Amino acid sequence: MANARTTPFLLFTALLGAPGCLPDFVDDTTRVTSPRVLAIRSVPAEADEGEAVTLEALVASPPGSDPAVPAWSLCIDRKALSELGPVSTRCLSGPTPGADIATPVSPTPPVQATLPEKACQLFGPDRPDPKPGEPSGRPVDPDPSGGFYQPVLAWLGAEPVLSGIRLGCGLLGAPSDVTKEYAQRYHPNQNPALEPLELLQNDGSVEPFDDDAVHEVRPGERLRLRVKWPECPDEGECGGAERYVVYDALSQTLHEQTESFVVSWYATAGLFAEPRTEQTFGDPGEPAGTFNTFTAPTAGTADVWAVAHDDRGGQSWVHGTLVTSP
Amino acid sequence: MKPRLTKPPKLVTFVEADYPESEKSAGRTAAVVLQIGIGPTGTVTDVAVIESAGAAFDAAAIDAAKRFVFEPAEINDKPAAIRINYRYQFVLKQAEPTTAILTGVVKSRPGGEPLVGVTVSLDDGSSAVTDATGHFTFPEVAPGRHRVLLAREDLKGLQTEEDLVAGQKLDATYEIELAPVDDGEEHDDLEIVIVAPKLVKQTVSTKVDASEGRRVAGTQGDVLKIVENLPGVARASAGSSQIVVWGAAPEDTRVYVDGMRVPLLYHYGGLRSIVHTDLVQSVELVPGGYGAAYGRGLGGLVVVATRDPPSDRLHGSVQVDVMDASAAVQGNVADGWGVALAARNSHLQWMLDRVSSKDFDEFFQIPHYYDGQARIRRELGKNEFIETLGLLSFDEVSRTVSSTDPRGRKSEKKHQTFGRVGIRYKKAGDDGSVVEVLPWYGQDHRTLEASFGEVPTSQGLDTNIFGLRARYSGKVTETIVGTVGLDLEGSSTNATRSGSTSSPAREGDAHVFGQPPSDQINGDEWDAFIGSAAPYTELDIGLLNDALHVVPGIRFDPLFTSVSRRQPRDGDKPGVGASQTDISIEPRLSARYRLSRRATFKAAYGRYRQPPLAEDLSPVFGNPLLGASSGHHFLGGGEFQLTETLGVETTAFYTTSSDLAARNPIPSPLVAEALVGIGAGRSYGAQFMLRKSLKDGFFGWVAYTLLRSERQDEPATPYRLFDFDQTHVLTALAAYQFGKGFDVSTRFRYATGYPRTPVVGSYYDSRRDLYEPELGPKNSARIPDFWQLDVRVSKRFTFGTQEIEAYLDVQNVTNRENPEEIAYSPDYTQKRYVYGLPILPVAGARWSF
Repeated sequence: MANARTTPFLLFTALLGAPGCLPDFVDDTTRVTSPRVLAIRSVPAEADEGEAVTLEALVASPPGSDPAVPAWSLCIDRKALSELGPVSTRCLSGPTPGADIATPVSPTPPVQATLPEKACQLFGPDRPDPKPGEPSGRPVDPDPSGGFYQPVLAWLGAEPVLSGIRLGCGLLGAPSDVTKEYAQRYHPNQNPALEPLELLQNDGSVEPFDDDAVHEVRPGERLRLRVKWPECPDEGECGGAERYVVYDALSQTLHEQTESFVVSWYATAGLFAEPRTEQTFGDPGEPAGTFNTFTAPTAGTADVWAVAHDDRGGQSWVHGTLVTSP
Repeated sequence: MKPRLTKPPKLVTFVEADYPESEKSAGRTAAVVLQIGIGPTGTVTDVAVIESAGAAFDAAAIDAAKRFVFEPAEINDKPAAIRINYRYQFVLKQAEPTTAILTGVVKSRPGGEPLVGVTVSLDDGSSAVTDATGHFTFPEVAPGRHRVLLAREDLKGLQTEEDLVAGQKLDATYEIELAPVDDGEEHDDLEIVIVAPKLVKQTVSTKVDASEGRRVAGTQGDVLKIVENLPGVARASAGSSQIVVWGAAPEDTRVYVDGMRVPLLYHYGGLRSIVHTDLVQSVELVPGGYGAAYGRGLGGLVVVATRDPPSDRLHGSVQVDVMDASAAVQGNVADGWGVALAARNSHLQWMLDRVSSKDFDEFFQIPHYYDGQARIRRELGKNEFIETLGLLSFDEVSRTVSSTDPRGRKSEKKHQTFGRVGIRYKKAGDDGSVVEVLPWYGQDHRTLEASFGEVPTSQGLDTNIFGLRARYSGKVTETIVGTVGLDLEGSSTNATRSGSTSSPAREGDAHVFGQPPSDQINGDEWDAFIGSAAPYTELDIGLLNDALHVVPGIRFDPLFTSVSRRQPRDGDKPGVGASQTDISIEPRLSARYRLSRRATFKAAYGRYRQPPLAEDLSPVFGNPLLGASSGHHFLGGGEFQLTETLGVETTAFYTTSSDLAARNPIPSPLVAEALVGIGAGRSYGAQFMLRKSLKDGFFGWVAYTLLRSERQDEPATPYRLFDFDQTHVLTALAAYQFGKGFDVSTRFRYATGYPRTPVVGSYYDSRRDLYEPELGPKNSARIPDFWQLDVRVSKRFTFGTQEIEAYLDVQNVTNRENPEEIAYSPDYTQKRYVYGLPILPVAGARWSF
C-alpha cells in the first residue's frame, strides 16, 4: 500500500461579477396623486360579534380634487385555504357582490356597522356549525397577536381597500385553565392616540402642526417630521404601545408582548425618506414616537399624513399642510 | 431473288463450358472466338476456332458450343443453314459466401488504449486473442447471432452479441473499463462495457460514466451535475437544487446512492452534488417506466453507484476551487480490504465575504455545505464481498434583508443534515446468479426559520429512516432470468411547525414571488410513521432468439402510516392518534425488441404509488389521514445506432397521477383537512437524444425534451400548467481532448420559462399596511425563455502517477441576462425580472495520485 502524499496545490480564484440581479423599485406608495383611502379604523378598535362599531376612513386627496366618499361593505364570505390572500376574492368583485358575500354599510356619517352575530365562527376560533352527519369545520387561524378580524372594505369607485375589525373572540384550542387566565388578563385593543404632527426645526425647536394651520417651508427644504403617542403602563388600555397577552398554540401557554407601532407616511407632493418608520424614541415616562425626513416640493402645497398601525389592527392618523414659500 | 436474312438464329440452349482446372486454379480468364455452323434445324453442325485462348480454353469452348441449340435462321423466310461468330467468355465465378468475418479491436475506456491479451471467444468454440494493437479476427464464422465473450484475468465475464451476415465483415470496437487486479502492476481502474448491447433493465434510462460527466462544462467537475443535462429533465432555476423529471414534482423523484435513498442529490443552491466525484462510478437517470425493484415515487429515479475501492494501490485527490475544497482517498489497505473515503467543505461564503459587498447576502442565499462518504469493502471470495457504506451531508443557507421599513424586513435560515449507513453483501455466482442484501439506516434533520415582516415561520423535521433492499436474480431457464426481492423502508418523524398555512407556498398556490405570506398563523407538533415492505418479482424473458426481451414484474406494496394526532389540540382533550394501511399492487411491464444490431424498440408501463410526506400529516397544517398518491407511466420509443459511436434514442411518454395532496378548496373545511388528496396531474411529451460516445477524444450529445405537464387542483376543474412545466428543454454539449492533457468542453442550454400566475391588479390592506395582488388565471403567463452557453477548459499535467489538473469553468460566457423570476413593486404596479447569475468563472485545481 502506498502512503498518502501531500503536495501543494494551486488555488485559482475567480472574481465574481458584482451581481445586481434583483431589481430595485422605488416605493412611491407615499405619493397621493389621486383620491385614496389610506387607513380604515373601527371605533372601538376591538369589538365582540354582534356589536355595533363606527367605521372611519382616511380619504386623502390631492389639492383641488373633489372630496371622495367611500362606499362600505362587511365581507361575510369566508375564504378557502387555497386562497392565500387575506379576504375572499368574491368580496373583491365589487361594492355590492351579493347578500351572501358582503353586507353593505350605509356611507352616511357616522358610518355604523354591526358585526355579524357569528363573526367568531366565520372569521374566528369558533368552529363553524357542522353539516348534518359531519364533524365541525376548521376554525380560522389567528394573526401573530392572537387576533381575528372581520373584513371590512371601503370602496372608492371600483377600487377596494381592505381592513379588519378585531373581534373579541376566545382562544383556538387552548386548555381551559389557559382560556380562563386569558379572559382575566387580556384587554381589548385601543386605536393609537397620536399627538399632533410636529415639525422639528434645525435649532431644536418643535413646531406642532395644527390640523387647520398651514406651515410655510422653503422649496426643496429637508424637514424632520415627528409623531408621538403616549407611553403605556404595564397593565390596562392605552393609546400607545399596549402590553397584552397572546396565546401560543405550540406551547399552549400565554405570553406577554408589547405592541409595536409602524407609521406610514403620505404626501400629495414632496418626498419622504422612508415610506414607513417604527418607534425610534421613547424613554420611560416619556411619550414614544418616530421621525421621518421629508423633502418639501419645489412649489405649491403639500398635504402630509402619518398613519400609525399597531400590531392588533388599531389605526390612527394625523395630518398637516405645508406651503412652499421662497 | 437475292437471298436475304429474314430471321437471325437464336440461342435457346446454352451449355456452359467446363472451366479448365489448370486455368481455374491459376485464376486465369479468357475469351475464345468461335465460328459455329448451324443447320436448318438449329443444331450445331461444326465449330472452328477463330481466335484462340489456348488449347485448354479452345477445347472447352468447342465442346460446349457443339451442344448449343438454336432456333434456325431464316433466309427469305425459310429455315436455312448459316454460320455465325460467337465469343465464348470464360469468367471465374466467386464461390457463394457461407461464412462471415468478425474482426475488431478492444480498447480501454477512457483513453482508448489497445488492450492486449484479451481472449475473444465465440459461442461456436472459436477464440482469438487480441494482439499488441488490440485487434482480433475471426476469418470464418457461421452467419447468425453469436455470443461474444471477452476474457482476461481482470475481466469478469463480459459478454455481448453480434449479428453476422454471410459474406460480410463486421468490424467491432469494444471499449472496456477494467477492474483493477492486485498484481502490483498499473491498471486502468474502471469497469464497464459500453458498446455491447447488454441487457438493460430499465426501458428508458440514460447512464453517464463518471469520466465523461466530470469534463462537461457547467458541472465544475461534478459528475452528478450531469443529471440536469439529460433528456427528460427540466432546467432548474438558478440557485435551485431541485430535479424535475418528466413534469413530476421534485419530491416525486427518488434518489438512491448505492441503494440507500437520500433526500437530495444536490446541496442547497445546486452548486454541488452530495457525493464526491472521485467516488462516483456512474449515475443513471430513469425518468419513468422503471421496474418493480423500485417504488414509492411517482416521478423519476436517479441511481448513483459509487466506485469500488481500487485494490492495486492507494489513489487520492485534492480539489479546490472558489466554491469548496475536497479530498478523496481510496485503495487497498490490507489483503482483501478496500477503503474509499471522501470529504468536502464549502468556503464560498468565506470567499464572497472578501470579494463582494456586505449586502451581497441580502440578495443571494450563499450556501454552506459539507459532505462525506465512506466505503469499506471486504472481499470474501470470488465475486463475493461485504461492505459498509456511509454518507453524510450538511446544508445551511441564510439570508437577511434589512430595511428601515419594518414591512420589508425578511430573514430566512434553512438547514438540512442527513446521514446514511448501510451494510451490503453481494455474491455473484458463476451461473450468473446474484444475491444482494443491503440493510441501511439514516437520520434526516431539516429546519426552516423565517420571518417576512411581522409573520414568523418555523419548521422542524427530525426523521429516523431505515430500509432493506434484498434481491436474488438467477436463470429460470436458458432464456428467462428471474428476480425476487424485497424493498423495505420506514421512517419515523417528529415534526414541529408554526406560522401560516400558506408559508412556504405549495405547488399550485396562487401567489407571486415576493408576496408576503398570510398573517394567519398556527402551531403544531406531531409524530408520523410511514413504512412499507414491498416484495417484488420480475422475469426477464428472452424471446425470438434473444431479440425480444419482455420483463413483466409485480410489486406488492403495503403502506402503513401512523400519526400521533388525528385532530389538532383542543383544550384539555387528550390527543388521539390514527393509523391506516393501504395495500397496493403495482404491475410493471417492459419490452425491448432488437430489430437489428442498429435498431431497438422499447415500451413500458407501470403503476406507481407514493406515500404522503410526513410534513403533510399535521392535523393543523395538513391532513393526518392523507393517503398515498398514485400514477401510471406509459412510454415507448426506440434506440438507433447510426454509426459505431453515434446513437439516437427517442421516447414518447404519458404519465398520470392522482390523489395528490392539495389545499382544501372548501371555505369551511373540516378540522384536520387543510390538505386533501384530490389533486391530479398528467404530463406527456417526447424526449430525444443524439449521443456521440467517446472516441478519438470526442464525445457529446444533444438532448431535447418536448413536454407539457398539467395539474388539476380539484375534480371537475380545468387542468392548469404545472409550476415546473417547460415546453422545450434543449441541451447540447461537446467535449474534446486535444491531447497533451488539454481538454475543452462546451454546453448550450435552452429552456422555456416556467409558468407564473400573472398579477392583474392589487388592493391595499390597511390593517397590515401592505398591498395584496389580484391574480389572473393560475400559471397562465411565463417567465421569458432561457438560454446560456458555458465553456470549460482544463489542462492536466502528469508526473508519473500524479496528475495536476487546472480548470476554468465559465458559466454564461455571453453574460446573457436570463430572467429567473418576476418581481413586483410593493403596490404591484410595476414588474421586473430577477435575473440569474451573470458570467461566472469558476477556476480551480485538482491534484490526484
